[in-house]
Amino acid sequence: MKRLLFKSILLLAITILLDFSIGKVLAYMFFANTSGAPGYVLNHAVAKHYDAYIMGASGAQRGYIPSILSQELGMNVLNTGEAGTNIFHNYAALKLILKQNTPKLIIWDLTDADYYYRPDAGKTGMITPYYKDASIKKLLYDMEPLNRLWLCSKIYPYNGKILSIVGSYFLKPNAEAGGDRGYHPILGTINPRLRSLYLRQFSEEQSYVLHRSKDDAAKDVLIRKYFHAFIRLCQQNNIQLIAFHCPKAPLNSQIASTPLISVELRAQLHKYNIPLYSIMPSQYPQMNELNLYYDFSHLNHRGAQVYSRIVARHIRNTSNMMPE
Amino acid sequence: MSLVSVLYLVFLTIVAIAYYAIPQAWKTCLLLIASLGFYGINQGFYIFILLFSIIVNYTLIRLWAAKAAKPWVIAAVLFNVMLLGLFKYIPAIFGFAHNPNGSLFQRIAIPIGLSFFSFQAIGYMLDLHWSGKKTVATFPQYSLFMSFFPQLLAGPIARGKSFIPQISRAKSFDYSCIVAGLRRILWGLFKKVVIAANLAPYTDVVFQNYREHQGLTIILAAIAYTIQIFMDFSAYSDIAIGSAKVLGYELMENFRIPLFARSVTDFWRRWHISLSSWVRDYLFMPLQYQTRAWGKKGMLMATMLTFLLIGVWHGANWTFVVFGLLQGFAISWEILAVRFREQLWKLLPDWLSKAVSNLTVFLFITASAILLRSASIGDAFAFISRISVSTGTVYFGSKQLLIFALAGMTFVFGVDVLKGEMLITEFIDKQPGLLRWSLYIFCIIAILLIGSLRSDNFIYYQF
Amino acid sequence: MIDRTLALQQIESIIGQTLKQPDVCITEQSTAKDIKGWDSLSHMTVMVAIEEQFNIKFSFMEMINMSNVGSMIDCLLEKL
Repeated sequence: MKRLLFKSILLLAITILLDFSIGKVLAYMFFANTSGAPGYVLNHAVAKHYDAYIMGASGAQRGYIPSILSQELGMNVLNTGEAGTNIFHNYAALKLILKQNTPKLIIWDLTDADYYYRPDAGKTGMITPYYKDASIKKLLYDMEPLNRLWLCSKIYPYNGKILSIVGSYFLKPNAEAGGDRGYHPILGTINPRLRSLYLRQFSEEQSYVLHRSKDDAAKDVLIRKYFHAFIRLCQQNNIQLIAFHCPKAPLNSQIASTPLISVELRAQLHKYNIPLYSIMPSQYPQMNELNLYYDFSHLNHRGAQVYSRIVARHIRNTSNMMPE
Repeated sequence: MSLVSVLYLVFLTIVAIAYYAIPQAWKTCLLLIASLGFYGINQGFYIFILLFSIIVNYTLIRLWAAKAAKPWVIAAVLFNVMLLGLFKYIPAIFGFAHNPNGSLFQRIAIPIGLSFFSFQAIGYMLDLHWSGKKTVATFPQYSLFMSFFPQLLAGPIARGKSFIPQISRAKSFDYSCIVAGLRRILWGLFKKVVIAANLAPYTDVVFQNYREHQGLTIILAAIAYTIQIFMDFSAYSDIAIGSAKVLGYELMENFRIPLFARSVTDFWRRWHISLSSWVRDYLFMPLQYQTRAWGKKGMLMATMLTFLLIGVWHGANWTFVVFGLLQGFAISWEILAVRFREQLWKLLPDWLSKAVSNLTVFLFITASAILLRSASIGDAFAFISRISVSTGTVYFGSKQLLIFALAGMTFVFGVDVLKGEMLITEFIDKQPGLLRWSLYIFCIIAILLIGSLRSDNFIYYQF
Repeated sequence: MIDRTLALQQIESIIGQTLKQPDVCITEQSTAKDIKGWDSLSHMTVMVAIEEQFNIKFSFMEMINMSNVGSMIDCLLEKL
């Protein structure tokens, strides 16, 4: 018994020592990358000051061009969108930004996934390295109670990222890695042969907010906690928050005119007085062209150029209406 | 509580500490309580099905022991087959798709482990009957045999002959036994978390949306899936066997480097051994005995029926029937063409014939595993027919995850080549201390650094 | 009348023939596991060959309770 105990403790001690040292090296390498490349955009957001930030998931990352918005609005804009994330990422990003800078404006690319749990949204990989920040630690614990255990490990925050961290440290990311201030264009246009697949995707996305299982409803509670926290954080800091809903590929007139934003979510925004613009192709003829889309839910580079101008115009109009 | 979860490791630790702290007389009782509690946590009210099965089976055994009559044996077999039918086959055959909010019939799910403990019960009854001896396990012993938690959810399917005598054997704290068990668990966790869980997102995406993918992607996903199920299931078995070992029990080995098999016959002696040996002993041998006068024809028929059962054991779907029949045909061919194959392999140098036969078996298993994964026969054929599509780019999903899985695989297969037929724990035992410890630390660090520990993979009990 | 040694010799030659292992060496302690080629597929062929040679029939229960060649000879001699 004693032998087992002694050896277990020795094994644990060596593992902790090694974990700590590797963790230190990885932390150093991770935070050295401030290029703004996907997965590292928070490092950039923390290192530089901007007036306005675009927040959201892949729809934000692929659809909002900071250089166009900067030019049209006359302010410095950064795109903090990351694929596969939801409101948790926005909340974490805002918390980190607020530590050194109070932005004037947040352009929020809103989707139902910010209010309803979706298994394919809610990636935490970009946030975990910031676990030392108290509010982010709280968020990580909320999302996964076992993070209390996992985060004892100093390498766990970098789980699954070792190749990219070490690779980008030694092979220095090139100038384009950060894209256009966090915007990463995708080229290519939608494949019409996958039409039936996209139609299915549309009806699935429409129905999944209506039929919440007990398990999903329980997970929604946590998402909504951070949905409200994110909005309040903006209000407390006098940050203007404007929500946009990115258009989906207008494969038929129903998709072109039906925003994938639930009634309840719209009511929530209304309650907080947050303007929401659903840029529906049926109302914006310039968006009603399939070759502006990469797939069902993403704009390609040409689409992003057209779309960003529409977004800028709405922001200008909204800001003019607001009292200074 | 999945066997791959923090909760399970905590549970096992508590059970093991209590187990070695209490006197021998109470040990069986403790394991029984732990096992039933374990099933209750996992399956809720379905624990009554387990209890019902134990009570009915044991009553039939007692009746048989009082008056050795065949009807009791037949009744026991029928009872277990009916229980399986009621939960596993009838709802699926009659199209009561499982729906937690639906009608009573739709709400019935398959109790996890049913296929395993029902087969254990049948095996034990037949063993008793065929042995001609009347030494029957006591009720607590039989209950533990049926519900022992490490093997309850997914095997290995235990045999009464080897399990029940272990119960009464005195078990005291044995350092080497516990270390061997823990080592085995760590190895299982590594395989599951670093390889199987890193491949899962890729195979999920390709198998679900195979209509969007081109030939090379389809082939890659099919191969990845074969590796994934092997790693997943063998990891599960490693953890089960390791957990039992920590408690001083030896379970049947379930895998012996199956991907190195040189014939399909050989493969089925190395893959899911507790199931394949079960059907060998309780179906194939009796069938062969009955049909022995028919020579080769009898053997082929017995083979086909045996593999049909192995296929159908997986569930009520035509894909499993075809899966079983495919294995049966392959093995029948190997029986019939034994001379031809021997001569064919003699034409090639030894190493080449080994490599070619190994690769052939792997490809055959990969092709048939598509059936295990597909929702229907039509789906499986549509999936396979996509192989001919050459337009479009190859899809890799997250390349990082694939590289992690590949690195893990290279390591596990490397160890497999070195250890050969040896058990992993024995192999590790033979290494010098420094290497052993490096291996442990390497596995732990790899799990934390490149393992898929994300909540959806690791924790089934949450929410 | 056949004695144990003779029975063992005959069994050895039958096994050698059916399994195509001419130089197989069998003792009373041998089990199927020790003998190359004696597996679940060839088992019944071996048993049928032995039955035919000695002109007897084993029951299924006798067959599965044979733990090694020795116990097979016990069973066989009882029947002669």
